[in-house]
Amino acid sequence: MKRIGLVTIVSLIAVVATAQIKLATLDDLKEVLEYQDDKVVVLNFWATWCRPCVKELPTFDATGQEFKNKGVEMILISLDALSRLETNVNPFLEKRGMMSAIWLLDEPDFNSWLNLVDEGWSGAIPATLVIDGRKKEKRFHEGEMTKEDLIKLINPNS
Amino acid sequence: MKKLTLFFTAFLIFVSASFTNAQGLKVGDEAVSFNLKNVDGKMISLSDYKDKKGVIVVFTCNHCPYAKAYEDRLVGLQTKYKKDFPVVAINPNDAVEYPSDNYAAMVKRAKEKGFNFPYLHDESQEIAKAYGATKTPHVYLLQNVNGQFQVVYIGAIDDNYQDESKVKKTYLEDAVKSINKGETPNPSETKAIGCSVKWKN
Repeated sequence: MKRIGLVTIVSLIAVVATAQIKLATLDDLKEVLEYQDDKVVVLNFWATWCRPCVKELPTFDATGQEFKNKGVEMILISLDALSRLETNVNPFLEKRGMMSAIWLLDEPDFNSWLNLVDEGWSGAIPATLVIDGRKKEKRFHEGEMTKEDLIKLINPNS
Repeated sequence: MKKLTLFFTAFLIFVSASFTNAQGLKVGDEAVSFNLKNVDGKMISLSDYKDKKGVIVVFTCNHCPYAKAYEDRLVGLQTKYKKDFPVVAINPNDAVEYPSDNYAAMVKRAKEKGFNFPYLHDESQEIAKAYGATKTPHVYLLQNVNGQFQVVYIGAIDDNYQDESKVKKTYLEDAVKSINKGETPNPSETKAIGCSVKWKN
């Protein structure tokens, strides 16, 4: 009985630690691409196996926290396959302990949705899209970004 | 006035030419020739394929999961189309930052996976730049038009990297079939997620 209790607790902790990940669909993506009044949404596309992505993730996470009270929402979208959720994605997130919203978008027919994000996206990751509901404007960047680059993309007047 | 017009025309041509360069090749452009070292030590150039109907040029690499996912499919395409549209794979990644993409590792990978097509090392990265390859895998289907190679399709191999049995659209193969029938590929451009080409600093 004690053992079962322990197992339950351990698995509960695991659930809590990874509760932030959302298994997103194309509909979720389409919805978030719509402008929201007075809100700026930042989407960063990454994957656990992508070295430049993983390198810039802490910057995105920290910047998201920094701008949270200024109407900026950071969503970090993992493009890992769903089959890698337990083996790679969750362990990675547990280790990193990120504060931002995390999605896993497993939609392998890339050609059906990449242009919805940005016509200029060749498909390389990392890639970042800012959906600026205040200016009704989208700003996109393919490739790694520094914190300065990211802040400029979030707020070009800064 | 005439002079001004001439100047503007020249300026426009200059601007569009530099723009094209920065963006790489587009469908309809003449392909850029190359001369690169294969995993067997021999040099391979585009002109070696003058007697073929076309060439399937794939920028790929060793380390990228998407690239790996397509290795067997490339072997299959080569088996099926080597007579008319052979596969030529090119690895453009910076081998210093990514040692698993260096020449020795390429030789090893080609052996392990039984590559039946050339696997070339674009060490200077100039060919990837000239083509405008941004990720791996990134396909350029070339058609031989009276001895000159022309880009007729750019993009993805198919619509499911994870599971070949779930593929519904074989974009690249469809494009090859269209060209073979004398038709224009539709779509002539597709997109897929890939690992960014690892450029040297």
